[in-house]
Amino acid sequence: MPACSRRSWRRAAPRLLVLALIALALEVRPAAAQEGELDIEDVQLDALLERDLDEQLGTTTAVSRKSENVMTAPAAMSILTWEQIRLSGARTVPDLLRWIPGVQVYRNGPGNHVVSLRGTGGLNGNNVVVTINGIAINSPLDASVDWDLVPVHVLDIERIEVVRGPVSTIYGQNAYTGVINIVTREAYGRSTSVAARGELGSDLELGVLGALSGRYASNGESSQVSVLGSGELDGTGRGGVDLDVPSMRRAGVVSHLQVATGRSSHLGVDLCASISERSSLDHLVLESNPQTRALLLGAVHFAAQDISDVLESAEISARSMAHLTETDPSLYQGFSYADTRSNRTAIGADVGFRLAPQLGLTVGAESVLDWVDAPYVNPSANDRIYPGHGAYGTLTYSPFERLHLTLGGRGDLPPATASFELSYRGSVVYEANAWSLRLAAASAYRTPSYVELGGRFVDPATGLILLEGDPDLNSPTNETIELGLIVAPIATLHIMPTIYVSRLRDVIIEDFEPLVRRTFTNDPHARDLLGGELEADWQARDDLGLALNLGTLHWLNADEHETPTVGVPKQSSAVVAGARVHGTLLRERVGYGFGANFASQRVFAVRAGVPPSIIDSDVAAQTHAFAMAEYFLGSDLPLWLSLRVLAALPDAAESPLPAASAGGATAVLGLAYGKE
Amino acid sequence: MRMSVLIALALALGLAHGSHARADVSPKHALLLAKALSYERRLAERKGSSVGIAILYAADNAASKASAQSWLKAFAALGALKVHGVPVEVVTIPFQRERVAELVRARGIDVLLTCEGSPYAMVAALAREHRILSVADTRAGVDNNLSLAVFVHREKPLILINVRAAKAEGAVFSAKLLQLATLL
Repeated sequence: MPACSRRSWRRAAPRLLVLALIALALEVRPAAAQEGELDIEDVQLDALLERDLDEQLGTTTAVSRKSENVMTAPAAMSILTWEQIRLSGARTVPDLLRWIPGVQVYRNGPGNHVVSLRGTGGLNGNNVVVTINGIAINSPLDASVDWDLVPVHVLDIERIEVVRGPVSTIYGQNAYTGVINIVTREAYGRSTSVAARGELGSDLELGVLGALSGRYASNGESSQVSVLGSGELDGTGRGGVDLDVPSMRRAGVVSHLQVATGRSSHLGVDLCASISERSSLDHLVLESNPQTRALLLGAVHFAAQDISDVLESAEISARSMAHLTETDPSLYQGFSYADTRSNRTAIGADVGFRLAPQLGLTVGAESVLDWVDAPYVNPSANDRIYPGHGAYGTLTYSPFERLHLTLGGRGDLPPATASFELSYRGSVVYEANAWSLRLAAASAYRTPSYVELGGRFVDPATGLILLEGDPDLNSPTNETIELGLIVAPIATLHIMPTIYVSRLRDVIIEDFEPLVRRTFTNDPHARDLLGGELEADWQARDDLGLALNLGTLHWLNADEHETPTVGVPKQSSAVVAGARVHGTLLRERVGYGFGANFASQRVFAVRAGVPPSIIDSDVAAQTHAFAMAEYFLGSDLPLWLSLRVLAALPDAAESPLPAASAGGATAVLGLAYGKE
Repeated sequence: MRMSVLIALALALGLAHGSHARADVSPKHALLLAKALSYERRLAERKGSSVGIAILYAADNAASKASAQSWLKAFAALGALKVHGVPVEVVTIPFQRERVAELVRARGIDVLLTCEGSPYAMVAALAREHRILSVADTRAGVDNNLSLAVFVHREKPLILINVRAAKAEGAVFSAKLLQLATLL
């Protein structure tokens, strides 16, 4: 080797060495390193920050209503982050939830969705608690969820947390198969952020979609405030078998105010108002006429942390929620929800103790007052106030640094029934640097709704009672054992499989036999099911992410003589799976996403509606595909231009209800302004 | 086998090389700063043929000067580095308001990297005046209204952003960085 070459090599060697090390450590593309030129786009931020798996997965409050690491949380859970939401193509929360393993979505028409977890929701949609910033929005009447009354645009959602499995020890009644928490966006740091956006779209039948939404959020030294509003007209995907389903119109606003009252205490106030007009189609109303629904919610809480060495936290809260449904009953041949009003007011207290460095105890209690006023509720049960009470405790113990035990119990006297309900949860979680293993057992219950307990549906033509509730119904219970793993074989790949076995007791059957009273009954036979869920998320590069979700369930003891019911789908196996790719190009100027999710054939043998109709409709397997792209126009006037295309294949209704409409294909053009 | 021996040897040499640095700045540190800059949208739009970084130090502070030299070496060790598709150019300069302002104008400096000991308030004012980004290598800098800090805290690399200060300087960080950084 010539002398000059040796000198060059000596000079270059340290630099090449450093580059090689960085390339090895940070998964830099070899080509870039070999050329001796490093483009920063080829280095992953996550790798540079050396974030452990628990830091990457972050924390959640959805499982225990207190902050804890997702990696060691005592239940299976999934989180969709803002970036995943933005690049998912979804325009509604139910469409977002299609990307969560174990979630099943049925669309009846524009703005009319039923969401269930782990296959046990049927067409009632009342087996899961849905919260906005931790405050439940389920209807007091029947615990169902009006997804069109969620008052925020999907792009104003910071993240969606889905807890899969029974969570009654924390949330009480109706957290039967899980909890879905919608967290709205706040400002970053001590700053103010504003966003406004407009969307315009159409389906192939030229049904029009238009939406306006906006957000204002500001964080000061001692206060946080956010106001989010949205309005939408959705006339896409209205084509039904015989008649078109009505369009959906909605408007809503949600606000959050938090004021520091001391070094480690704060006062929070949440307000939410939402109104919607959409199809009334559900398992009781088989007609698809417009109906108006409204939600009004107010909540206040005071919380303090680190009060003393032993007293770790304390919180008192109060909330009140009113639901209203109005429609023109003359439009209906059968049943309608005209003049339905309900209210739930609750107060609660929660105290956390640090009994020892490894031992924590949380105890709490809650009192609830329900009021229901509806013409189809038995007069003896209608327009009354129903009190309910609950108390709970959770013990957490970490005998070793990596081992976490949780034991919780809750006793309730729910407002709708006077019977005592006990629920429990126990879990063992072992965590290592790149994986954690969770074994958990839990129970939950669903209170029979006021319709199931006290409904009295009268045929408007004959005056005969067609359907009547049963005040002696037991609460259905769900006992589940699950084994879950979170593993990161490489730093940028997270794989989260879960298997579970559930036993459902006292499932409520709605057999809808004509001229038979007390047609809601408890199924005397327990039903067992085996399920598996898989979630994988690979951030291959900063500008390329891949995500997979798979949920499957299999009924272990099929009942050959089951009564047709809308409460539980016919006992058949089901598979829901999805895959999507998302990322950014041109140094984050372009965002893109594409993918598809698949739901296997769902079999129903249902008698539903008032007056009853027999529905024997098998819903064929269906795939929902999407592609989206957004373009950032510039920082001076921060505007994003976006295009989303969504298509249901085949173009058919995914609900067995006869008047349900097909989703079809929709393209939506959006223009958004955002200043963080 | 041979490859793993080479990697181990390289690691040992790399660590030894790093241990000679007088201040606690490694090439990886510089890489983290460059990566953070790649999430600044306005920088992407106003950059010319290069991204200019001026490393500021207090002339009368030996530690500050050593820190600046350490940053310079860290960037030099990375070789030809590209941010937003253009090369990064790094210079050091003792902080003196007029000299730095002149450098910003003459060289098209985009980033003021401020070593400990420099007058943070004056750097912040200069950055706001010229609508360029101020960066610190300690938390104190961000507490004193510089926009961005990159440093090691409890053996973990950390990015800190003073969102209000960043806005005042006209910086627009993408949501991805804001979600991963610690925000003030």
